[in-house]
Amino acid sequence: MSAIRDPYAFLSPAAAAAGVGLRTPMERSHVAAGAALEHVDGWRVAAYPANGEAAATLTDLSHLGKLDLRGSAEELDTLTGGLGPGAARSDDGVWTLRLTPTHGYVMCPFPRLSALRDRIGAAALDVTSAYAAVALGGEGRLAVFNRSSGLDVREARFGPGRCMAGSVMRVPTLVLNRGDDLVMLVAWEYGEYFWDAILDAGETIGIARAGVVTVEAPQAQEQTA
Amino acid sequence: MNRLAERRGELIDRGRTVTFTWRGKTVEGLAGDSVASALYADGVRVFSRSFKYHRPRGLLCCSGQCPNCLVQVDGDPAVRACMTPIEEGMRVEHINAWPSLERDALHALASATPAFGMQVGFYYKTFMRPRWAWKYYEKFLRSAAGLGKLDPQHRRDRRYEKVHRHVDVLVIGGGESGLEAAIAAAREGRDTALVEEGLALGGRLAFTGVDAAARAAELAAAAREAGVEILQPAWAGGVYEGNLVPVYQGDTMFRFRAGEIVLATGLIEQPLVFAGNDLPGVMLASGVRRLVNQFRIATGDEAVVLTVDDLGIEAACDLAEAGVTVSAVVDTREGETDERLGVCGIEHLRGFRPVEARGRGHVSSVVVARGGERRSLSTDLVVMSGGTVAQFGALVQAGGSVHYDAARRVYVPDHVPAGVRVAGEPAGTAAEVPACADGGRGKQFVCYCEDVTTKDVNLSVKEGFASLELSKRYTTVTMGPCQGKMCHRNSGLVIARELGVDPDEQRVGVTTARPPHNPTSFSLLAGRGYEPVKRTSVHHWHADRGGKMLWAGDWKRPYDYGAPDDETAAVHESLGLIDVSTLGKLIVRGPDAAAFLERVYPNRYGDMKLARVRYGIVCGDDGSILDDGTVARLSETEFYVTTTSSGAGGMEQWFTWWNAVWGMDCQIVNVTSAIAAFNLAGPNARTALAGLTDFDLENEAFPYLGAGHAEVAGVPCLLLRIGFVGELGYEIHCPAAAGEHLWEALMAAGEGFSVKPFGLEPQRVLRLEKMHVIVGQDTNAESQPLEAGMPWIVKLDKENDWIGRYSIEWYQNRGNRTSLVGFEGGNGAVPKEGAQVVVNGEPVGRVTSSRFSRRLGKAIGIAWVPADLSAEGTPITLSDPSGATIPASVTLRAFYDPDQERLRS
Amino acid sequence: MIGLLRKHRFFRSHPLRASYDAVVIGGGAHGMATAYYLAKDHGMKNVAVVEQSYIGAGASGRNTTIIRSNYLTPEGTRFYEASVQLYKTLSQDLNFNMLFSQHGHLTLAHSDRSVNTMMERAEVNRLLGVDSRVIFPDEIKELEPMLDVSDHPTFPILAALYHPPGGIIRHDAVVWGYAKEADRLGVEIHPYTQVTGITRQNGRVTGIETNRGRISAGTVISCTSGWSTLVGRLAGIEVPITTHILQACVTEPVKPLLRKIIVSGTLHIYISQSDRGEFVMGSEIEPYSGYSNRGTFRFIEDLAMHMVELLPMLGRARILRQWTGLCDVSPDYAPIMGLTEADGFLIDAGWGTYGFKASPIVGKTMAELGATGRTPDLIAPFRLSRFYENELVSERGAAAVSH
Repeated sequence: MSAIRDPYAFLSPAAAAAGVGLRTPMERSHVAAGAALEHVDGWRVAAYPANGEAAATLTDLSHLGKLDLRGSAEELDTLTGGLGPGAARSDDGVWTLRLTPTHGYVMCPFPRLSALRDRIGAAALDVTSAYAAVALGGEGRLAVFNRSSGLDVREARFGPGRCMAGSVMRVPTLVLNRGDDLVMLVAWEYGEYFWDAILDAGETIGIARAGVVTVEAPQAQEQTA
Repeated sequence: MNRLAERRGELIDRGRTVTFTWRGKTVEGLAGDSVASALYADGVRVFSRSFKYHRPRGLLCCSGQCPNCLVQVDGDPAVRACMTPIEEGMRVEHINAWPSLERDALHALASATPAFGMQVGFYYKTFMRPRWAWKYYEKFLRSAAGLGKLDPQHRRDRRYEKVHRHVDVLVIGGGESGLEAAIAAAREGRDTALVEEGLALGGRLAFTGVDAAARAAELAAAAREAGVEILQPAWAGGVYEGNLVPVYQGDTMFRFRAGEIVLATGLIEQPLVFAGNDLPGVMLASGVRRLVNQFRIATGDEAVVLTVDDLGIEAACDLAEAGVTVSAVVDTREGETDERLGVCGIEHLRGFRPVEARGRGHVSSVVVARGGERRSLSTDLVVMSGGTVAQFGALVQAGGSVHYDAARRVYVPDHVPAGVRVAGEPAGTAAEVPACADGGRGKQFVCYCEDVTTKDVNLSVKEGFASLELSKRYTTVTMGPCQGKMCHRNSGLVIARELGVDPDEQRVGVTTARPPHNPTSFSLLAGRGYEPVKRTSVHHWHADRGGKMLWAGDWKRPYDYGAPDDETAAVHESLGLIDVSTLGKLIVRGPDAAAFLERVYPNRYGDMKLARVRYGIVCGDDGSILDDGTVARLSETEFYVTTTSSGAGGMEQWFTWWNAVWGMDCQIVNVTSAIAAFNLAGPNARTALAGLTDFDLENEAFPYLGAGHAEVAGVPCLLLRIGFVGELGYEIHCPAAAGEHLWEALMAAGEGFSVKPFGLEPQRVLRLEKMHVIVGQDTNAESQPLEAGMPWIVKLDKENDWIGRYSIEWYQNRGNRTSLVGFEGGNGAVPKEGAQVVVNGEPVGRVTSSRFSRRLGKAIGIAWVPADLSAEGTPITLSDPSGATIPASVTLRAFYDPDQERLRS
Repeated sequence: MIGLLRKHRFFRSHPLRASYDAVVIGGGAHGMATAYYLAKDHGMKNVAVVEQSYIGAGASGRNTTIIRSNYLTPEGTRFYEASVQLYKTLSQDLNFNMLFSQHGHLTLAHSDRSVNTMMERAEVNRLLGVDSRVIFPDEIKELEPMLDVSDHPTFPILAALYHPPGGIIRHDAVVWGYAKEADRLGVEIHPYTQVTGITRQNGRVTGIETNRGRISAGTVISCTSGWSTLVGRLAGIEVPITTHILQACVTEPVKPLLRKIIVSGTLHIYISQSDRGEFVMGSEIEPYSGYSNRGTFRFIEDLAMHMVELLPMLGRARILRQWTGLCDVSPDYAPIMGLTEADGFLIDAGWGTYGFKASPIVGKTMAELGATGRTPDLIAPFRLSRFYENELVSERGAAAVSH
């Protein structure tokens, strides 16, 4: 019947052929802001100039691989290496999140997704395309976050290596504190709205769009007389 | 410069002038002035006209509690002049007076009206006859009502920010108690914030003399040093559940969540009640002291202080020291002359009560009496020290309570909930009513906002509104902008006296203090305002190609691309493509997945073969149709369920909840977001699709209702051969990240067949031609499958129990009362959706879907009709909202391709 | 003007007597109207109304004062239309001005599904003789210039159901008007009287127990809205309602700006401007059930956000006060009126967010039932037993956003 054996291949962008350029929900916003699109690991990602001055930065990470982990509490203990609910850990670029006793997530660079999934087995479902993701970084990130959500992200309550679900900009969001930035996951269909909303929240703080790929800033304009 | 000598505690910057306009005239003030103080210093004494009688009103409290200084600033219709710092170029106007503040037509009218004309509740007792005239009376009443004027052209002209703040301790009130509490908390290492409403920190310390001002400065410095976050001027809007306190500063709302709230909201000075107590020049002692101490304005040439306690004596001495001439202190208490007054040379009239303030447009004398003795004191400034009331609003909002201390005759905190603390010992001072003596002519105001007098309140009680709550609603006392801050105590005392009971008796008591603490503008509450919007992965492609993007639930979807008839025709004749990514999609998997589905659905799924898809409905316990969709079997233990677009969240909850109840070994994962879905439909669908995939699409290999995995244009897909639009078609599901790529590939592959993208409107016509039901449009919360024309879906012979079985069996025994049927419009007229099925002019059913089908050349639709009219061919009558009566006849088989030949080709 | 010269004593107080022919529990608009019509239409003088607080303390004093009859079902429409007709002459009948202003009511449709619902309501209304029709943006703008009918708003207005007789009224005045006339006709009104028990003998109700004493009565009528389940239980009756909080708020008074009552289901808001100049606004019931009288901050935030979306000139209007009331919601969003399993105990409940506008017709029909024992045709569809017979009245579409 079908060439693909995996019943969930149709969920997974990783199963797409090489020529398919995968796109994030924010692509049009990137193009409208003047970013170039580059091909990275099968995805079209935005390339923005580096901006060291802005108090906060926002980066589209929707192309990250994401796995949904479900099982019994014991199974999740094993899979997450004993993480408590609300905790997260990074191993060599792969983040494991334990949201509840029976539900967790894995976030990883996209090329490593399939291998990880195969290793974990039936408990993992590829949800790469289910969640758009952004990283809110910079010194002003908490100030921007506090203009987007009532979740308590004070250091003592939500330090590095913590995750929680709640409302950000009026949509259900998964928040992860990676230490230098906050990663937020929202439903794919909210991606563009969310991107625009966080940029708006940061307007008075000073927020710059950033890309996983950085390009040279355009040449300075010639002085006019 | 007409200000008193420079002194500690003043807020003005004598070196900087600020220019603004008042009623078109330029006024010069000093930086640090409020609008009220700058105008007062410039000689303004009348600031507004009162609500009902349009009496001239001057400054009273100078602290934002009363309505007297409400003005319009730069178009904003209700701004408290005393709490608003002046800014260069501000345009300040008066409100509620026409043609001018000096000559108000409605004041003339009110003055000319006989006394009984405007008595309390006058509009309840009159204007009823003749009945037709009420319209005109009402127009007049409406035009006289209201204070400020909203500009109909006003649009949002600035950014209103909302900032969430989490703190350990939030102190509400920056007076002495509040500052001390904040300092203590901060020194314990707790994350502390303090909110103060006034133009300076310190509460009473800020305007009660040099020493007090010094103490205020000391505390303020200590607080800053301890690391207290100080928001001033800023005010707390109320206390809500979970210690949520909105704090407003300028155009920003700080949405605080506090571990602990400390209430240091202090006391409010109350007016005295006597005839003429609303004349300009009659002010609260704290108001006068603010003008004198904070703004250094010489208030009046000859002041008289009226007092019920020592606070008035302190005020008199303070004023005298500041350079104001105080000729007498009229003290309702009997006794000896107070030493402090003796020192200042101020006459202490003990045992005297105010009778009447007199003057035309401004006070010029006040009459006082002691027993039979009356004295008239010449004065241009009457200073009222009528006692104080503690502000308990925040405590009560937080879930606390107060009780009446009969000995002290004041209300004190009773229950203070966890997470809240009351700083200091706020209780206020007792007062009696009447503090005034009889014999005064003229109105004795209890409520300045609503122009309610003691006569009004007494009359309301006599008329039977014999409680504070009833009298309040009848007279409107406490219901104006001050929300009782200036009048709750006095009105309670007046009613208690009239009823002959104590103020804490059941019928008096206290009214519920409701938020917000101060009137709060919509813009400030709304903040930036944003509405989440769901977009599919092809959204912009649709918009770029002329798709009319309209709301469909939370999503934006293309209604059509400009030519719905052509789009519809394309599907019938050749090829069309529609984005159905909004469909809900759930994965149900696990050893019990099949058994789970058997329990949830009235139809059968357990026996479904691999690689097949089947339509189904989900019912509630009462047998009503909740949702519909499809189920595809991907393996022995894995199923892929689709739901309606708006039902996705609800179905996930429904499934998850029942799974938990039954404790089955089954997982439900919502993958709606992860998958884009398109329906490629039309006679050329197979051929076009074949160009993009190796999957065998021939009819024998992949018949109608088949499901299969295929790689299409390099994208991994699930193909479902189901048909909502009645032609050969494939529903193609793929990862959302590859959605736009796949869509573009499909459109390219279809180019040779003149493929057209089609939107929701053509889809509606197509599905209607097939008589497919749209759950939520053709059905409502009470529709059940037997009456909705789907008895075939309900498998009552299933062995297991399923949700809704009991109810549907009951319905089957009862028989159908109503039926969902198709109909064809007799004369080609299309009834509107919502038209009624009528029998003898009575509505007995309704049209839920209707369109003109160009393909079939007739008007078609779906309607609910009484069961006895549901046989094939029965004539029915439809009544359209346009007034037309449309004949129609019942059709039970699909209008188009009823034998499914095209679908199964 | 004569009314102003006369001395008035609107409500008298009485000691509680040992027995009455009928007792009405609940001194709000429904209870007072019932008592009034018992006296007026059926000559019953020996009637008492017992109220746990001051009269009108419950929903009658907390609602947002909207009167209309443009409902979805024929049963509902007929019923509310009868009420509107009574309201038209109520001020004259009770000799107390209710300040009833029939300025017109607009229910906005922002989606085509919504437009269909409006069409359906319009047609049902039209067939039953109620003035109600669907209008489109140009006409909407003419009737209410403050609305933005362009396609700029986030949720553009596609159409509206226009109901010219819809209006606002002084809600307390309805309670007071009925109370004073009932009082004049001999009905005894007893505020601050709590019902602590309902006595029965051989399955028949024989009276009530209160904090002020016991009363014997052959007919006990409960008009207690949000407390109906609790009072029902005293009589041994289970009433299938859940109680939800409904919130409302009012602004500072400003000069007249808004002509019509405006309702938007999509934005979950409705608004009118009272004769005093205040904007009176509300939203939907809270989704959880409870008896709290604490309002939420989210209510005024979300209301404000949607209000400035719909009527941007309100940006500077200021909310003065927010409050809550209790809504007793029935499974089919239609009321529960009439006989119960306990003989002599009549129920008037399940009024959700639409009870106040029905007060006059409730009073008339409940009085007829109370006095004669016969259930009037108009309220037969709302019988309690319909839940056992599975004959629900499907008003969800028109009742969904409260007004």
